[in-house]
Amino acid sequence: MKISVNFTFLLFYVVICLIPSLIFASSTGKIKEIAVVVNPANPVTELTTKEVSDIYLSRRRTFPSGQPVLVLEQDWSGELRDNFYKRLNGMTIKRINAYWVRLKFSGEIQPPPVLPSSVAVRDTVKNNPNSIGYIEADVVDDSVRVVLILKE
Amino acid sequence: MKHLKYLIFTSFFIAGFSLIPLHSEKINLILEFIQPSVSAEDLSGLKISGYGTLSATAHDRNTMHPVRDVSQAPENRFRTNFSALMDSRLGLQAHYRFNTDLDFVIQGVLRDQAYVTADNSLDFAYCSYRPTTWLELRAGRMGYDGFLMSDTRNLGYAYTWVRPPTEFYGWIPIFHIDGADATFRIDGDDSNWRFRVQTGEQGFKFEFADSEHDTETKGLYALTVSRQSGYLTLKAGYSNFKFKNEMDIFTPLHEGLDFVAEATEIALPEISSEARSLRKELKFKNTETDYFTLGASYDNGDWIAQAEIAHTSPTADVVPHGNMGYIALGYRIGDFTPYGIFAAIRPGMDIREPYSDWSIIDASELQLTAISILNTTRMDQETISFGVRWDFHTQAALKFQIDSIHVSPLGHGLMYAKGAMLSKEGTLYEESTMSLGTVSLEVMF
Repeated sequence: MKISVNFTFLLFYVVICLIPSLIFASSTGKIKEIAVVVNPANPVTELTTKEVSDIYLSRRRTFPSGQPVLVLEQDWSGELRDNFYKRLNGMTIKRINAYWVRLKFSGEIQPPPVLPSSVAVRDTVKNNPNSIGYIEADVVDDSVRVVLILKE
Repeated sequence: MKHLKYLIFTSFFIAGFSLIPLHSEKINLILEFIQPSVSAEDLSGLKISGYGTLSATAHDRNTMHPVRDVSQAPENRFRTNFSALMDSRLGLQAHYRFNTDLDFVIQGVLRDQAYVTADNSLDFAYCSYRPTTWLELRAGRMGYDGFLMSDTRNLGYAYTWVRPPTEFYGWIPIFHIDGADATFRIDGDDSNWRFRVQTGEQGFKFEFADSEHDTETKGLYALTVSRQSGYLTLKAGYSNFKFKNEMDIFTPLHEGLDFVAEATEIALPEISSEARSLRKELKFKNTETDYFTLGASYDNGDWIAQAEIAHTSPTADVVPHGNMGYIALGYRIGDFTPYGIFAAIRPGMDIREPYSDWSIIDASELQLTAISILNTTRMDQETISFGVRWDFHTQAALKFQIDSIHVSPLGHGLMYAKGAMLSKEGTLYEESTMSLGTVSLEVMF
């Protein structure tokens, strides 16, 4: 393997790599309250921010009651996810991404299933007794139980 | 792998498109789980993801070349002080989730190695089954779990610095094992414990004296205990492995040393004793190594700290060994994280010197060759590093790092040095310093 790459060549590639993300970057809006929800059949009635944080960082794999937990995620780069982690444990999206990439690519655990919207999360929680998700508070209905509210 | 660098660069262009926020329906289709519906039963599916590092390193020595770990080799590297391959990597992973209890994961990593093959570029290929919430069983090819960053060494995006400290991670090119493991988890009120037992085999290729050598372990066992509580994670590990095969270049040496030991047993017992001693220390086959590690990492959102210490003790001195450790400290300021690292390794053996005169049996060259090989594997160096990580994107980061390395005489086991081993005027016999400058672009997609 002959090494003959020069810095100009490398710089060119770095710039080329960044162009797509700069072109397609999008703006975000504001979110008021975020509700952490579980299935009504789940014996858990409330959770602390630490408990939810440990579950979402995969540090604990069960509810405090001992039953297994199925974590549901939202759009990986979305505004709701950004707000959720900032309010939950102060982690930025960049930091949470670095945390998850370590777990995911080390074989430690695979990231939670990503659902396309709060409605999809709510409906999945409704149909799955062990699941937990976070959604915009105005999407909450009687089909799920709110165990934590994260305010602005 | 003549075109490795072009393949990596081209892949980065493709990876660049993955930095587009995932609002795009097309990207979502590729990157997210393929879900025909969102019912609980259908949370299974395939996910393809990846990561990469595009890196450039320059240094100030003409007679030495650094490596990230000893599975690399400085092919043609003494012609230039620049390397775009040392830290550049591209990883791709496919994960199929059958259900919430059963997964299949396969991961390949294209990285610079002395001998790149499909086999040694495959890091993971395993099935994972969770019969209970506290037990996970895996079988196949999995990451070796010996230390804090053991199975994330290729994942530049996941850690702050440019590369795992070479003094700690450079000597052991074990990235994965073929076998099985069991992980037990205990969730406490304030802490989460994890116990993992691994068993299997592992093989890797490396270059020594311009030749390719296959190294396979007869058995590899690893036991690790981790405790995570708040901002602090602690991990302790013990590994044991035994080498299955011998290096071909040792065969004539063994024959010569056996002959000298036997021929001089009565008339020249000192020479015989030295020949037996060299024969004992110069072998890989059946050499057993114990490896102890202790690590801690702390991250409170602002401050990042990480430290590890380790001790390795093989039954033959030719296997690189000693005491090693590092401490790293960083502080987040917005999207920037400046950091510093100090890392050191000290050899587990003194510099080997001749203690009898083999010229009287006309075998001085044999004696010096055997001693030189032993001394060549000694690792005695320390590095001070400073750098900054810039998280300019939610899926990409840029890093700059400078390293100042000091290597003691006959402590170049983590460097490739130019010149004949037997020449006492060569670089190996000198106290050496090296400065490195590296820029790396890290992406995940």
